[in-house]
Amino acid sequence: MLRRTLLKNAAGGMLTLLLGEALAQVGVKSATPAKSHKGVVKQSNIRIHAQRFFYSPNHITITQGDKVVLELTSGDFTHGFSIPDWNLRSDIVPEQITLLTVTPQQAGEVVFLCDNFCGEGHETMHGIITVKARA
Amino acid sequence: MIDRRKFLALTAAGGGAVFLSGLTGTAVASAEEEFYFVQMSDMHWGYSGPANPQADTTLAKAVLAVNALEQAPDFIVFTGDLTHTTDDPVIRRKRMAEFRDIVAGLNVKTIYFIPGEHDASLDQGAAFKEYFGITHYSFDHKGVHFIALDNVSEPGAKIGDEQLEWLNNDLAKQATDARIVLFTHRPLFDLAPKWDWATRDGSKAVALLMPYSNVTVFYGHIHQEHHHMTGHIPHHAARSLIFPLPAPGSQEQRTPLPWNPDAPLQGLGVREVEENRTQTEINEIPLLKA
Repeated sequence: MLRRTLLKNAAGGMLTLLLGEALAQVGVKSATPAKSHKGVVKQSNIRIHAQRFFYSPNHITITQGDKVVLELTSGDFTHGFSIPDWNLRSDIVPEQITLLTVTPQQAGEVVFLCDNFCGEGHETMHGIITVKARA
Repeated sequence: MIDRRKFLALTAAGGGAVFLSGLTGTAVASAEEEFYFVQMSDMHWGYSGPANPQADTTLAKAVLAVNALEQAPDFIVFTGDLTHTTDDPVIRRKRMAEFRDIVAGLNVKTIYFIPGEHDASLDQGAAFKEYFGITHYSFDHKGVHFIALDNVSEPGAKIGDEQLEWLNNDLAKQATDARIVLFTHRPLFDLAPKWDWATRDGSKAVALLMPYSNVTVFYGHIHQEHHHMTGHIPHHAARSLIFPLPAPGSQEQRTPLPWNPDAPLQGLGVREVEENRTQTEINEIPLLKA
């Protein structure tokens, strides 16, 4: 049975990182959504499932300035979920839902990948986040 | 001086590269203080695939190449990924036993092993330890302090706090100008995090090494020659003995370079490292020309 998990952080609550390119949050507690460039507040959840040796989906598109909660699950292994360009990572423990909240500030593409060696196909386990420029 | 002019001959023929790393010592070296060792890396015994259709014979060719060196090295170090990963613990041990038997054909019998993630990450080094012993250690040889660091057995490509504490204690016994050589598998710096070419807590190890003026790091993992400086500390990646990988960040994915049937050993090689009182001299020996 899945149970929601609060990731460890220094304060025991929401961890907020200002990354230059993205505002990222790790945890499950509610937070005030970030305002977009035009003051329109949007929030969405995207579930990404990890299974050796792929993510599904492995390409997601979000909009610059929107707050997005990534709901990460794993079916078989404690995979990693790393976005090096945002200096953000977490383990994805099976039978848990790991939440990463990001608010990208810049349009473009960033790579996410598994950074816990998980077997022969580990090197191919990656995906892309496309951040669309706000119209 | 050790007469090893073969270095220069290979370089002149385009067969190898010499990297000189100056040390701060100024004393004239005596013969007993000079020696060289060989680094072999990323053999991936058990691999089967298009990146090297001759994978079942490449390691034996490397053994022959090292045995053919004019002067035997003092020792040989294998810097990880001795075997190709498998989920099956029985097959993993079979591959390790086969690897051990093949490298037993090396004329040099002083051999040091460290694991790569293919050897150790799925079982935290259990099988590796059965066949090759402990995964981090240090030893001294002719005035040089050698350290073998394991950055693959801990889940998530970490050295881990316990091993970092051991490293700190080991270094504390050394003078700040001691000659120190560190072997590891993954780069200790963020070479290409998008390709998982990094060690998550590698910066902690580098910070521990920084007070020491004569440190050199040799590693593998990236299947190509590469040289990088973190402050005054050089880091040298070695070629592999299975298939070459692309230059860091040069393409979207770190897929192996295509196998060349006209030059099946292209991009593979071993490394000679000569240690003397004033410098570390590195010679890359392509398997193709060895």
